[in-house]
Amino acid sequence: MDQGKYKKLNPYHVFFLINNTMVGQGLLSISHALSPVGYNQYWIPFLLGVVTQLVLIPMYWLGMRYPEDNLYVINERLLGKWLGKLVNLVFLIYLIMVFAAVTHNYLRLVQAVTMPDRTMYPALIAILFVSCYIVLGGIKLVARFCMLGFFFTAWMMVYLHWGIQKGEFSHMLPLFNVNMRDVWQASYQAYESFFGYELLLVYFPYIVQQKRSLLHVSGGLWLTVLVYTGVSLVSVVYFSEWQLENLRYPVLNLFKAVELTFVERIENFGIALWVFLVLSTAAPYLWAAKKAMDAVMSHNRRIHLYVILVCAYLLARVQMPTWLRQKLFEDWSFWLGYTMVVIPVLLLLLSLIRKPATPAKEQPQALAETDDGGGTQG
Amino acid sequence: MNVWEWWRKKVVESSYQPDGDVTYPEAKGEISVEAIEAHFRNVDDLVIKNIVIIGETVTAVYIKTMVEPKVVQEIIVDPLLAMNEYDDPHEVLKLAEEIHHDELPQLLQGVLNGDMVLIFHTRQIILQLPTLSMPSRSIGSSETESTVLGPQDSFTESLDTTISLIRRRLYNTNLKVKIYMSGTETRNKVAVLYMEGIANPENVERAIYRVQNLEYHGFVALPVLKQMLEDKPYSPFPQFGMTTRPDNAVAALLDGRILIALNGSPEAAIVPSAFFELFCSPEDLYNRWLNGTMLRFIRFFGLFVTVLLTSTYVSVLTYHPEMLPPQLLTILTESRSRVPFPPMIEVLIMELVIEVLREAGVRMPTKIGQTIGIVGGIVIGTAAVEAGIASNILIVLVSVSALLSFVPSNYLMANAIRTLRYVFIFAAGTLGMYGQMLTLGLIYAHLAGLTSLGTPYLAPGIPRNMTDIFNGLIRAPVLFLASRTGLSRSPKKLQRPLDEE
Repeated sequence: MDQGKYKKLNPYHVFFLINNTMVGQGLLSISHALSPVGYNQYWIPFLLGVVTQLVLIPMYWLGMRYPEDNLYVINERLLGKWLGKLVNLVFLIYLIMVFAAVTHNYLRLVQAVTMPDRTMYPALIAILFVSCYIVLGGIKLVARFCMLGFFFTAWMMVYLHWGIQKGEFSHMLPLFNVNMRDVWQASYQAYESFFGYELLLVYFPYIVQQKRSLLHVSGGLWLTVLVYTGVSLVSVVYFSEWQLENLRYPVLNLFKAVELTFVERIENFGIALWVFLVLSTAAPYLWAAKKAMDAVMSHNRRIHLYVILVCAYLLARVQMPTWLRQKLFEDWSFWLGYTMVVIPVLLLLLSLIRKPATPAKEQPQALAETDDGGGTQG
Repeated sequence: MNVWEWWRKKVVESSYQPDGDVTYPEAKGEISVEAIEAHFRNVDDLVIKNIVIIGETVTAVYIKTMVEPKVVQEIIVDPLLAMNEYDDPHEVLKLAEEIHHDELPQLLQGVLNGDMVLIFHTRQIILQLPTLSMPSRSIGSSETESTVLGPQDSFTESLDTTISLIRRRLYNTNLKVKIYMSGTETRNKVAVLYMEGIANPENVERAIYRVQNLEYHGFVALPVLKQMLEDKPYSPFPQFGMTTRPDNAVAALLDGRILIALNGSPEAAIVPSAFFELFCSPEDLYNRWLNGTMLRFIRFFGLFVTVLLTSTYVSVLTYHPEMLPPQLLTILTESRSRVPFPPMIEVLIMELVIEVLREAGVRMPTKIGQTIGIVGGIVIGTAAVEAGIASNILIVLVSVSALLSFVPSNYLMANAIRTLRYVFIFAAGTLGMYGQMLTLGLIYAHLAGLTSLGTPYLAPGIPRNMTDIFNGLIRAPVLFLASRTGLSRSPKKLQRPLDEE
């Protein structure tokens, strides 16, 4: 893992990092999460996209004020050593929880769909191992994996066309049968699908073109919005309102609509291929968690990564009541996610109050293109 | 403490030996016949012969296994016999180079390289003449990288032939050839070739730095040398290209790559190289663009098919039989009805049989090898199905994936894929299709982290230049091929002017 503050993330890396960190976590259940508004859900992703865009601006601003420091260092700088470390610890817990939740939810799905009669701990160990391997390659390898994750899975959008063919387009008609409360409820639930961009400030110091990064980040965000809108549109067309409310993974059922002559039950394959999306969501979180632990312990050590992996394994495997796990993985990580989104805004205000903007330093930008070996150094 | 670092330290400690007995040609030493004899004690093919020429004793020193008598006669004996008393030996032997009386190591090295040394005792002159003349293999066509079209010659074990084959195609003073000594015991020659002005100077520096810093007792073949030069020694993938074809080599030089060749090995390493390039053949460029593109697609997607085909058989039959359409399911159940093993064991048996056949075919004498290939392939296949060890669909899949694994033009890459297939089969047997995809992700993560001489191995999959698309998976028409690849980071970006100047 990189020690230095070496610029290495090119624009396309930032674009795909943002996009894939969001999509891998949220795409499976977005139409279910939006179900409180029923058939009117397809414009909500757009609304949430606007909200996210607005949140990104203070994050970018804060990043530009501290172009050499990641979120954890900024925390300690602005909040003082102990309070900063405490906030970092909270972030660490959040990141581990999201990492565990993403892998655990996905594996539960794999188990339900493809191997109902198997215990899942070998699969869990395998996915932890692979994400560990990716993270050991540094943030650049994580970003490269996100790129591949996108290109390996983007073609699956073609499968939506069966859903459209068999669907009923009159579902899309705006009937104005929602109230603000439902919209609020749906947005609140579905905003989890947009989490992932809060990691931006953790890898901000590694971005090559920091000044223009807001553009690339927004590009990634709006690609996500496009994908979500597409999927929820097809879901609206294809499902009934009852189905939207009660199907936990509507995308899975959209797969079931696919009819190919040479293979049946394509969702087995789709779910297996989904591992690319899950890994490209889990790996950035794991990387950020490792950085958080480094910040909390004030040392860069590889063992932190293994500790995090063990924690995640235990979170996913230890016997606990379902309500507790649900609370951990859904409610608490949800609230902490909101915290992580809000804190940069507070930090920005704090930094604006505490001292005037530091004079912008010249960034050495030419180096990053030439040597890519640095990304894999221990 | 890190276990690996501890282990590595132990290895380094235990294997450290000071190289006190190595003498370099630059070192000094007094020349005398006795000193030469002392160095060549128990070397029976050394000839030290005193000839008397016009009253003067001349000692000739050479190794008779490296010098043919005819050459000695033509180059040395005939001119010397025609010499007058007052002639300068330099004038008579025009090719000779003089050695100073204190340059013994250089003399020894010269003799070992097949030169002849003449010591004129009265005149106090020592001359060294290039007389190296050994029988070597003649230039033949390439066995490992054969093509239908294009040049058919290939490198031989002699480094001089290798360089001359390149020079026959590149009449340019910018072709630089740097020759280094390698191996503390063998003291063999390694050549680093590049085009000045086209190759990236930083890359050249890196390659030369690595070649110069090798310390090993001796390289018997280039693949060993290559492994020591590569960035990640633990990876199963070859990170440098390797070719025996001069047209490939010249194309690489023109693209700004660096060639590394070893005397005694008929290959040249191409550095840096990309993963995709190891699936390309020079024939793609000799073909028309559409056909070349199709062949590249087959080769590259053959990679995925060969690792996924048999492992999908395992995962589908073990975990997801519902994926099969009814007709296919009927055929499969019929043919598997007598097979007593689970799919994974069945596939492993058949894959191993194919591996054994392949290995036996390579090791056996050529004539028997072909027969065994046919006997093994047809007889064992049919018999295995009849005996109920394997289903006949599996035989088809195994043979297709075995054929596909030969498709990459690089043999080392073909072997890497051959090994990876077993990883996929095990993953499919334990975790089903999810395991296969996870392994694919792991391999991608591994590949994306690899570098070749510091540049990313997956380029142009990891973007370098926008123009790389034209000669990547798609081989665009020649009009588009105007730029050098981004991988070589050449200071001259364009191969030709773009507009009509």
